[in-house]
Amino acid sequence: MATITPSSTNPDITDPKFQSQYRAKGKAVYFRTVTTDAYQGPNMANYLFHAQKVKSVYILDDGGAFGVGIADSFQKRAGELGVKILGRDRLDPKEADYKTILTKIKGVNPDGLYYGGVMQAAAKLATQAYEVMPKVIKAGSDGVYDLSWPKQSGKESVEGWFCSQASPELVTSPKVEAWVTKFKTEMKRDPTNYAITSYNAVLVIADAIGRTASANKPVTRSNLRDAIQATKMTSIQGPIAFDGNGDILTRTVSIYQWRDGEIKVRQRGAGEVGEDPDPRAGARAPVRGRLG
Amino acid sequence: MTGLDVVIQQVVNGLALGMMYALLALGFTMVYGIIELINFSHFSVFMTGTFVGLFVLNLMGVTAVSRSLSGVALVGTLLLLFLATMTATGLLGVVIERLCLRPVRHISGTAPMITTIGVAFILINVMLLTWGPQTQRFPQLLPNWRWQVLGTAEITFKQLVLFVVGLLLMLLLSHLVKRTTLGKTMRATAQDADAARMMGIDVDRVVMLTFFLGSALAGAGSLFFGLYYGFTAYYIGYTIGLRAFTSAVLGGIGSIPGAVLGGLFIGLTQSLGGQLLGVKWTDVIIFSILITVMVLRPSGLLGVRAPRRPEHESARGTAGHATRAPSLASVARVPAAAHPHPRAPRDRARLSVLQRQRGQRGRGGQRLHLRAPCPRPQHRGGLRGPARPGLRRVLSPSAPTATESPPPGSSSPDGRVSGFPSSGRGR
Repeated sequence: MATITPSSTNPDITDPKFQSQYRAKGKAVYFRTVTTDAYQGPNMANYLFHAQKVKSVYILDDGGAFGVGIADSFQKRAGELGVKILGRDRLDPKEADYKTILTKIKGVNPDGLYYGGVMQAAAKLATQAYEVMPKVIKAGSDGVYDLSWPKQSGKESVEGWFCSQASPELVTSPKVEAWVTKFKTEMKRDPTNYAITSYNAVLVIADAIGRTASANKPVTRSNLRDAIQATKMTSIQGPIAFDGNGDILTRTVSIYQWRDGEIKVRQRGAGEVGEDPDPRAGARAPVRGRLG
Repeated sequence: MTGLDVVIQQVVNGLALGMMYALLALGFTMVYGIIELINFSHFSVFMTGTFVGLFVLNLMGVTAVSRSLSGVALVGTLLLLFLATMTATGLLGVVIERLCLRPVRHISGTAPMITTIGVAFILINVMLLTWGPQTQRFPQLLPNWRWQVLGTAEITFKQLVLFVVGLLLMLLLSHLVKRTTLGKTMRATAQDADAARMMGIDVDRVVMLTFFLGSALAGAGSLFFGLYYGFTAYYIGYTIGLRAFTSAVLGGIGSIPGAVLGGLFIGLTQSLGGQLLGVKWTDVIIFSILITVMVLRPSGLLGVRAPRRPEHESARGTAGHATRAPSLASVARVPAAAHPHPRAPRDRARLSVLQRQRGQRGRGGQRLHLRAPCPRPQHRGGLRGPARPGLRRVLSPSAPTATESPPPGSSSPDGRVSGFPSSGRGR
């Protein structure tokens, strides 16, 4: 039976490596209307290189599966772009003192610092990085897309940090304004980006049922899976189509920046550019690397 | 920044870090010096201290978003903060000692140590449940002033405060242990608890005060932590505590200057090792050094080599514990020559027979295993006669240690043996 997820971003569930676990019959049954973590790192590398003119970076991860994976993918893409990798090190999330590593990083004088990981280490990293090297461009992933960050690290410490999300930034887009207004009147609350990807996931199923029925085929689990696999539709989040593994082909990642204690959109993804001054920073990641 | 500047900067950072470890290591070393117990709850007292500090600051109306203070307001706030937090953690240490350790102090083996681990987990979970799992921001009271020293390396105001106040506290402690009556009673208890008791020293009170002092120093360390790093969380005690414990062992557990030296050494190792090899190797480096020191010099850097265990005991399978770290006594610079006598083998054999008869001793010589022969003060023998009144006081039911007095009928031939530690009675 086919499943569509509007928000799961772990690459493993659609990875061919885990085929025996997740698709016993060899065909993809798990589809997503968001892309995976495997594209957040490379997209941030693109953004820092094109839009922020970062020529050298130091990379840190927090030793977790997510953090190491995303830092690896960032490092690979940054290397391809010709950004100089000045070093790579691992933070122990339970450690309190990051001044040692930050002093070391300050010594090699990088343009940018990339951190792959989640909040536990980030909360301390931001505070201490602000003290040691306030001027370096700093970026993380959706691990630091956390509204409680300024409270944990101090507003001034997170100022300027970049972060990303594995979905297009939609709710603030003028294209979906009508949809957002309708959502608000019906649901009496503000939609999130994942509300839109969920909405589209349901549309994909409806579309697949429609196509199966109009082709005069019985609407069975197997036929429906094939129809979802063949989906080609345009939606408010952009075109939706899946690759052989069930991943959405539009690998959109949005880039944000912390400004004055709030997360501001820097790049919406799907070709749309927010306040980003450089339109060359396309949202589509040209890499097809996968994470283990 | 040039390579040299970075190294100098790392030395400054490392010394600041080391100062924090040293403050915490002092608590381990003092408690060990007095009752030969490794107090693992010390980690958590430190962690709790950061939250106490946070609570006190919030009470004073200083929150995470407040701006850094200066002048009289800063000094006043800091004084009040240190006083309140150190008292609170000191009392916490006393409560832990009274409720969780004194009842098990007379039990030989690892029971008291395991109890301290249990207390550590209780405190961690209490803090986790009351404050939640997120990182808590600690108010940045101290202004972000910094000065350049040697090239582009900088020393911050926070580090300076850490050095100065840390050194002051250590000098104060050193004065207290060496020059005051309280210090004298502590040293006496460390040398020989039973002899001290015979001299009329309330050993229980001394142990309690030791816990108070050690925990108060942990409280000071925790405030430095909060002010220096600007955060706290329920899990911070473990990493820092383990390294502080390493510092204490490295310097020679039981030795106060050793703890300070060990702390600074570990701090420098951490920052320079991180610089030269990478921070992911920090713990590997620190604990490799620990193992090397332990193998080559088991009593630690400033430890004094204790006399070798008598031959017949080694033969009983208790070999390998031939050395003993020095107690607080060594801190007081009592010349080693003043008390060179290990307990005479004959005495000891007789004692163990008596203890076995009284059922006070495990079969495997457990007590001996834990308490290797300690240097005895020479004057001890001279106390036999005149000490009788004191001894009676110890043995009388109204004495504080009444629960430990020997059962009737087992009274020792000359009254002397009963005064000996019975399964860690001196603790």
